[in-house]
Amino acid sequence: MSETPKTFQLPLNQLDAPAHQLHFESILDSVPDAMVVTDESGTILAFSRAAEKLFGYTAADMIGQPVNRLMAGRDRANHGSYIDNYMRTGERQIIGKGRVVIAARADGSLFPIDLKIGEAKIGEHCLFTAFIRDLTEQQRSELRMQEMQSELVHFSRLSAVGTMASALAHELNQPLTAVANYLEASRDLLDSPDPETREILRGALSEAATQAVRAGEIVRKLRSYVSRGEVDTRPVSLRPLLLDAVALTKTSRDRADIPVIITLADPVDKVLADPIQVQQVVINLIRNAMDAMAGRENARIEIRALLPEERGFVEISVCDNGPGLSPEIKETIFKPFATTKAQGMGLGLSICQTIVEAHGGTIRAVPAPLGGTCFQFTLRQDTGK
Amino acid sequence: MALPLPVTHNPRIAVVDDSEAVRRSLMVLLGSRGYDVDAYPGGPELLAAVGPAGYDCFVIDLKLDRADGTQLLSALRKLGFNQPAVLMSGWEVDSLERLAKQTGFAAHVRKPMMEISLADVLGRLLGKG
Repeated sequence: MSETPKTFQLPLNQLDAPAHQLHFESILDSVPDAMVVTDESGTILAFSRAAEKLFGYTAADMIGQPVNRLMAGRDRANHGSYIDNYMRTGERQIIGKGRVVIAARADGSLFPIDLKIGEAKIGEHCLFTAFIRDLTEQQRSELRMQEMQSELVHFSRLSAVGTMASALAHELNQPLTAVANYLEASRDLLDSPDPETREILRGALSEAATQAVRAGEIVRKLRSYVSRGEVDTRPVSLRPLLLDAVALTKTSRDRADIPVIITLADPVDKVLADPIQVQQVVINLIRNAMDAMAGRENARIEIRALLPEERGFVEISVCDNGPGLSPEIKETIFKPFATTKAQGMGLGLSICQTIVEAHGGTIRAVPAPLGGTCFQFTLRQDTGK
Repeated sequence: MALPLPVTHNPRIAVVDDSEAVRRSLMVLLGSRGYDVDAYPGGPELLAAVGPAGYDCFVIDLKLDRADGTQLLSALRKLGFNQPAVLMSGWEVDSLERLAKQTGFAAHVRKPMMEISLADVLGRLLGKG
């Protein structure tokens, strides 16, 4: 594009009727999502009012500019080849599917967006229209809340075992100590014929019994506390849950770059789940995959959901193209405190397993078709009953 | 007859533990072994009540409400009470053994005292059986 038109002109064909032009401009002004139209070279042809607000550029700034100025990291560098690939092979990576990606504002700040791209063929040429939903603006509070809750779930599960053991030990120690003391005193006092001593003995034994009952109550309380921990599941749409999980893993800059592709088989819709907990599982698996591929070229993560042979379940897999698992690691991977990471606690996968199993599903690791690892877990399908 | 006649003075023990069950049971146990026992729920109560002669032995729980048992012993030592002391503890790490010795505890008994009886430990420390 040698010339920079001030307003969008429907290009490359002869639809120059003023009514069409006006109509299109009114769309650009009023469409609530940010909308960016490019040609097949990735040059911006139109930039909606909402896009101006979202990115901090004016339409006049951006028309005629390469669209990758709005992108970050890997996407920014490779956008040209994405278009070339598509034009050459017709293989759709994003068109018609939608993805969560990271965008860059005029001031350089990065933010997660839900990106949908439509394609229009006009004569020999293609126009691409991107609809951009800002996940930061629209879901900041929701995501923040979910992140906090996830962290809370995570943290509470991390520390639950230790805290519970310590609290339980402390609580049980007091009555047990008292019981031991009373019984020891009773043994000493047993042979005494003195009525006064026998009264002390009687008191000691009855105190010992009371304290033993107290220890039993502590155990009973513990049991009811543990059984309250059962999951509270409800019908949840899988796609938004997965999208949000992906967006949460991308809010840290160093991870924003690894593409995460979500594919849901058609019949997959709702699952029975506690969304926060399941999101926690997905986030853990994505983070693991990202860590497994640190510094790797062409790293990518694929999340697929399909209906497995086992009826009544949905199978979700998170696959990476990292180095894969060695057989020794594979044996212990779901065990608590088994980790290959220097700073890792080795609890992530055991937490995932706990959550999945509490949902009535299973989780396993298998070699990935991409050459890395697939973590597959199942959830109950919501059949609307 | 387990109770000795109060001809001479019985060894006096101060027990400090925030659990009432533990305090009461130790009073019965140590009382049956012929000790005079005063039990306190915390360090401040002991420090407020301890007379110039102090006690023949201090039995102090590690986990107290406001300060831990090692701090309480340090405070007692500063006030010039140099009688032997026994630390009781529940769920603490093994390094506690070293800390107990460093602070000057003569012995360390782990609750719930199934392995070593506090009464036996006191018997050894104070020459009673």
